[in-house]
Amino acid sequence: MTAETGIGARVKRKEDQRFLTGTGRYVDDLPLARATYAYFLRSPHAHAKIKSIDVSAAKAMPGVVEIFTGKDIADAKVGGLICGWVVKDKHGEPHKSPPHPVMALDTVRYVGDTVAMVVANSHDEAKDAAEAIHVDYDVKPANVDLAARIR
Amino acid sequence: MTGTHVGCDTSQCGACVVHVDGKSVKSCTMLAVQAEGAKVITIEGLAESADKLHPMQEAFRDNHALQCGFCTPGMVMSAIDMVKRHNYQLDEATVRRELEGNLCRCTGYHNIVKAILAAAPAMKSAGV
Repeated sequence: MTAETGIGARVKRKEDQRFLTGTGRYVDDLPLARATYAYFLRSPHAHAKIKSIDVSAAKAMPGVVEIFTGKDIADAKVGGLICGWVVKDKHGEPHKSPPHPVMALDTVRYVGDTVAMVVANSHDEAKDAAEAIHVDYDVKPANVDLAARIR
Repeated sequence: MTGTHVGCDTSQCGACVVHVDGKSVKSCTMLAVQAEGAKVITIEGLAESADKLHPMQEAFRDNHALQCGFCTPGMVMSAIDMVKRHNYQLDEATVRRELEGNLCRCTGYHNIVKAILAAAPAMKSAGV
């Protein structure tokens, strides 16, 4: 038996009204007059070494503010993506975690791995510039069959 | 109008669904010029007023069929079209199959299915 009010009563959410009527304000809906837009260039290969990235043509394209690669992030000593919750062992030592670079440095490890970030005055200008970035990949074989690999 | 969302831009996620001449369409894959002369209804055009929502919108609210709400406009538009095409008669298996073109990351679809099943008879008695 559901109560009308108080403990056990159904409580309807307040935010549903705007989401159901198309009046939500998601980040893309905010009218930010001077915002720049980022577009990420991603690897088309499941496993490859990055031999070189040439952003010169892309940087010259209209509307482009800046272009960053994994090397730029590493040179700026930004560091990798940290694990938000460090687990300690019985001696108080923190768990070991791999580097997790923000963008791929020497190796791409999945289709979609981020290779470069283009910042421009509009989404379309950023996307057009990303398509002008030339990445030289040394494509490697990719293991997609776990059972075969374990044997 | 910001109700219709760009999700994937590749016609997979369904966040962009609107009604063009009464049919649900993935607007991301349609050129604006193709809509010339057509009647287009978006999520903003469904409710009679802020107080009187479409039965499908009510059903979504009553059945907790949304969390972040990003897929919701597309879900609602697809759902209305589905109910009409099946003449207000739906079962769970049909709803789940028909929702193949609408992706949701938050809810796990369970309450969306419940909402659509609840909305079908409500739409019929409301004559919409």
